[in-house]
Amino acid sequence: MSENVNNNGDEERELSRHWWSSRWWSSVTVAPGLKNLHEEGGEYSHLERVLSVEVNPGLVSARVQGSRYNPYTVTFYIPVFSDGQWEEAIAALGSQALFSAKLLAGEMPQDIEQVFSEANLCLFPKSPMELVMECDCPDVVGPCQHNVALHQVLADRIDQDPFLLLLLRGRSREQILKALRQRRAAEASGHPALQQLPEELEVDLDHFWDMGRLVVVSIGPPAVSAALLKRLGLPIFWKAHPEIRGALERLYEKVTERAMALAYASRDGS
Amino acid sequence: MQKTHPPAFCAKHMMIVAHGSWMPDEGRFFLWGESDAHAAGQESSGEELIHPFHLAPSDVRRKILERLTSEKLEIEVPSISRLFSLPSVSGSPLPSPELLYKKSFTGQKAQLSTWRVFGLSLQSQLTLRWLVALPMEDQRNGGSLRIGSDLCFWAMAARFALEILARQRFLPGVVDDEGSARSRWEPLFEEEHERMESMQVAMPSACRAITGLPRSSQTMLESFMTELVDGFVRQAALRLRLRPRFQETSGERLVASLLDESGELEQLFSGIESLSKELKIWKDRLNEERESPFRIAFRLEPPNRGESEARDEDAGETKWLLRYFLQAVDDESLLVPLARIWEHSGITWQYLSRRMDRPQERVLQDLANASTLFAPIEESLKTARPETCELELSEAYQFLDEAAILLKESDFGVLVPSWWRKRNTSLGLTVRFSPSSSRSLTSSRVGLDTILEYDWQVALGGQRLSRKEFLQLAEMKLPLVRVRGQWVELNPEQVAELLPVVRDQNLHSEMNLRDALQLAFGRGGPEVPRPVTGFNAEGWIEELLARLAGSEPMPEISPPDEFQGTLRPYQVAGLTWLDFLRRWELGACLADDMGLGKTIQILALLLHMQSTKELDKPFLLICPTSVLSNWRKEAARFAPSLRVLIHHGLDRHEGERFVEETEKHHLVVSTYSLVHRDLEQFRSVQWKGLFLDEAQNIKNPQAKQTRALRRLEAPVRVALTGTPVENRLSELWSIMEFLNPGYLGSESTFRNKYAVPIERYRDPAVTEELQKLVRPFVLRRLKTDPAVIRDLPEKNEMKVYCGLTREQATLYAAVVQESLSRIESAEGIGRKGAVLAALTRLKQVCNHPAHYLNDKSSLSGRSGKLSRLTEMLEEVIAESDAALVFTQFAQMGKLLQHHLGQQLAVEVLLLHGGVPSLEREQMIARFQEEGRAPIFVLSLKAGGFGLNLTRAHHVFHFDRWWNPAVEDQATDRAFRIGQTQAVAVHKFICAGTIEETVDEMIERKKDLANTVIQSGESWLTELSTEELKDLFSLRTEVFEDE
Repeated sequence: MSENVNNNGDEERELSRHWWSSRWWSSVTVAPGLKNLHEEGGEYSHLERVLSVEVNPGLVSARVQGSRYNPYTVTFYIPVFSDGQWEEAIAALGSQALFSAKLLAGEMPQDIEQVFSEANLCLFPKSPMELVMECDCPDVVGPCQHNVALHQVLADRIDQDPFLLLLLRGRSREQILKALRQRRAAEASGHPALQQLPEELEVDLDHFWDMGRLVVVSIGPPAVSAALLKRLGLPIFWKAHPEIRGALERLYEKVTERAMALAYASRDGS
Repeated sequence: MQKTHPPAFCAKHMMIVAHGSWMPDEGRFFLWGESDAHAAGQESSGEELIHPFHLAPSDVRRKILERLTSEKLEIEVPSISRLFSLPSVSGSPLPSPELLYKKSFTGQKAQLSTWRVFGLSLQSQLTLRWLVALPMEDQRNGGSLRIGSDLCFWAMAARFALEILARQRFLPGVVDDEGSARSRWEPLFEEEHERMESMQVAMPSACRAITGLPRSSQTMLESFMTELVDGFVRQAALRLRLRPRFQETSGERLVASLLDESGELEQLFSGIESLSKELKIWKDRLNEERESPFRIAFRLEPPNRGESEARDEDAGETKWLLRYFLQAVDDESLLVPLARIWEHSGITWQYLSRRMDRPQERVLQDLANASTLFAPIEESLKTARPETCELELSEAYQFLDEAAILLKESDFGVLVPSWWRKRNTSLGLTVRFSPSSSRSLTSSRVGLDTILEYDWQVALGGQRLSRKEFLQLAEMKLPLVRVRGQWVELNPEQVAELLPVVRDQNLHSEMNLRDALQLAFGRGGPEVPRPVTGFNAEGWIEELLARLAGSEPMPEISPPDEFQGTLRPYQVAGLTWLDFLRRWELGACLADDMGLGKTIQILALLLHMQSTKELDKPFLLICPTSVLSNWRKEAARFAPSLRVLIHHGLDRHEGERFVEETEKHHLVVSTYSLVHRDLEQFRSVQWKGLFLDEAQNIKNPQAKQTRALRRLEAPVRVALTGTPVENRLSELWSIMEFLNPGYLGSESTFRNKYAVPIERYRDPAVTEELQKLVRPFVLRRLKTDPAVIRDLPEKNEMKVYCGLTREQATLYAAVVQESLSRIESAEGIGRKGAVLAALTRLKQVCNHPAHYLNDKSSLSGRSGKLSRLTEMLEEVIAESDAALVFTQFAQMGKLLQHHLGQQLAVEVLLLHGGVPSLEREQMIARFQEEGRAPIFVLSLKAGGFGLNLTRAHHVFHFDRWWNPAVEDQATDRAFRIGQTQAVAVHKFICAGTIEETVDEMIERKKDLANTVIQSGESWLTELSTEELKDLFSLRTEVFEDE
């Protein structure tokens, strides 16, 4: 893993890549200079040199260790889709259950490009003009080695997690799955998707006070107390304080005790 | 809003509808109320419009907040105002459906307008406590305070939040709100997304009517639940006084802030972003989705030894085995031993149609994860190809008791032995009753207090244990033991509980029949330390229980010869049932749907007892005044051989005379209003039995008349009611306490054990338990039961006899006198007109004094027919049915619409000749829609054409047209194509008045000459003055209001 990544290795990686990351790679490397730099290979294509990568809607930032003591901050921008565009995209995605199924299984559906273009959107960058790259290294002309490193790492990350592609365009996997779920639920129940309610209260005034079927609530203690803590362990920032776990377990138990008391207390106090 | 009623009327019967809104920005709850009286003293300010009929905050506090809570309000509850967008019509908000009777149906299109509403602002934890205790069922009994659908929704959401708390489905989180960060306990909505989605769909729009930023139902609901959960957890933490020792690292600061009251988070070392990211990574493990078609499954196997070798005693020394498998996610029965994976060398493993990449790595990784939940797995990972792990008995128990659940929650497959925590496999008792004497089912008196002998034994896993066996097992102190070759759980806590009882108490004991019935039909009951898992009875006890439970038929009795008429088969079954319970001196509640003939089943029971010479002492029947006349008429018609005494009115018998008179009769009929007043009189007579008609009248256990009734002694007790008594719990308890004292336990025990879980949470298990307990004593047949439908005619016509109030009688006499003198002095056309006018006025008096006087006075308690109609419609609504009410008079129709709407809190539609046809169409559509206006008042003439009103299964003729053809035509509105059920037709008649006389005349003439009466009422004008005098004269001495 710590060996230099040479051209051969790259090719191998190309081959073992999923279609979406290959597609991504070929569409970003149309950016002037980037592909050439990559093909030249170079000292900065050590993956280890990229200290951290953070993917956000519309923007990827990475810290890349260069020749100086302080790492460089490399940033890469891509336009996000507007809410309206996303709504159309979700509608198109929702038209076939297969898309949801694939997304759920962690796969990028093959026809996803098709789906987005139906909504007049282009998931993969269309032209190099869409992409902006920055680096605080002194290299002033064109994309630098640090940018290449960022893109190599990013392509790997995308290969593992195709949802990053969607996140780059503005929506996380959870958001998309949720929107699809809500769409399905709304369609199945024949009700409009309430989440889509615009700013003004738009309601059917004939049914203004009507209530739907309420859920069944069943109040009782859990099968295993503090099960979530037992399953998750402590988060990393509490690892140094094992006593917190005992305290939280007691708290969970106390909450159950008090909730049960409140749930079954009679009004007359008996 | 209604102009027709004087203010005094409104003030007396003010109805309140409670409402509530969540205010997400403040994290507080806004409580307000509507009332049908104008709230005084709210001035309009500037452009804003003040909601015209909402309650002042002081009234919200007094009449809503404090009335529905027992807790002392120590927290400050400030008054505030908010703007609401509400559907409005012509300059006023529309009242919510609970107040809808205020508006007559206009069909005018509503629009949203903004109104300022004053109310109270409740802190989140007060909101939770208050909403959880808010009653949700039984609204109609609530009288003048009703709960709006919006408040009802929040009450349910609060209960949902309480479930999340009790089940511990919440985790720490942080929110960064424009620089001011705070920690927050957050419910795991992802895990509950199905129920959350249903809640969002169920949320009434009214819940989002508060203006400002209109939120989606999702944000509103999530904000509400998160705030309630967060506050509750913090309160618990404060109670525990948990504090971290230091507050240096971000982690320590976060803990400190999760445990304090405010949740503020300041000056984090590493910044809020990184903390929130770490939290997310931590929590995301819960929702990891598996891509693989397989998961690891664990199967626990008891020590594998031949049955012959197995000795129960060395259960503790053998090893248990936990075996690992790959389980197909989509087919849990598909289990592949791990050996197959270890044998496989390729990158991809294929099994049937399922593929798995890098199977060995995946399996190892999953096993490693599982080992954090159940440590013994780790040991097996030290082998090259783990397939199983060996467990000590205590480890096996730990696996069953805890790890299996954690693994299952973490999406591993878990297969536990079939005997684990199945019903009746835990520690319990079996009880065996054997009749001591040779009593038989037909012999001497048996009642609830009869003492029965029984033996009890400990049972474990369905096996009975001797005292010695149990003590031996307890000695071993093992959580899992083998009893006669079978593994069972022996819960140490349960053993400790039972041990002293088994050691010290006599296995032979006694209890009364009441306790035995509780044991047989319910759980627990008398003081036993463990649940009774087995129940055995022999001889007559077994026979009694089997018949009560319905597993063995009761011996059918034949209808008594003296009965004038034919009992339908289901009525014979009812008679059989009543007679069976009577003979065991068990109280019976006959709760058949209205119209199925409860009265005649009671009359048949009395006649049957008369024929078997068991009617040696009189029965007392208590009923509402409104059905007094009906009982008298029905008894005279169906059971003329019974001597019936009406004990009512100012001239009723007293003292010795009462006792003497009573002894000469079979049935004494009196009213609820007299029970308390004449209690000592009633107690001076030895009664054979006591009947309560419309037994919902004793729904309040503390009311004077209820307590008085419980003091009456009578071996036979029967309650009649048409309301679904099983759903109204305080009513059920009160009626059962009257019928079978002590059977449902004390009122407060009953509340805790049944009423709270059922009323607040609609707990299905508790509901079923209660139903099982009361089923032997409640007989309820619905008119939709197939057996009943088979027996009923499609159109089931009944006459409903009502009495007059004294006011009505006085008016009636005056009208008769005046009319007769006018008729005497008139001739020809003039006479004819005078007769018709007299008929109309007498009918008006029979309907209601206010109808005759047309003086807009108050309506309650002044008309026998109106009281009876209101009661019967209450039952219609309780059955979720709908009804048509016909009257000839548009004026009476208006009075009915207002009165019924207010009394029953439902929307009442009114159709009369003046309604334009478009509006008429809308009304019909509205009525036919399920769950809308259940009552449709029609003035008969308008009822003519094209009305298809098949939603109604009850038709009431409030007054009579005296022309069967016209009445039939009206009735047929409900009985049309599309009608699938029998329709009950109730024709109201004021007993002793012209209504009854004409009805008798029609009955007589019906067969002979339809022609005579087909021409409407004009045939009456041909009668001579003498005949008319006879016809008009009042023949009743009993008045409703005495």
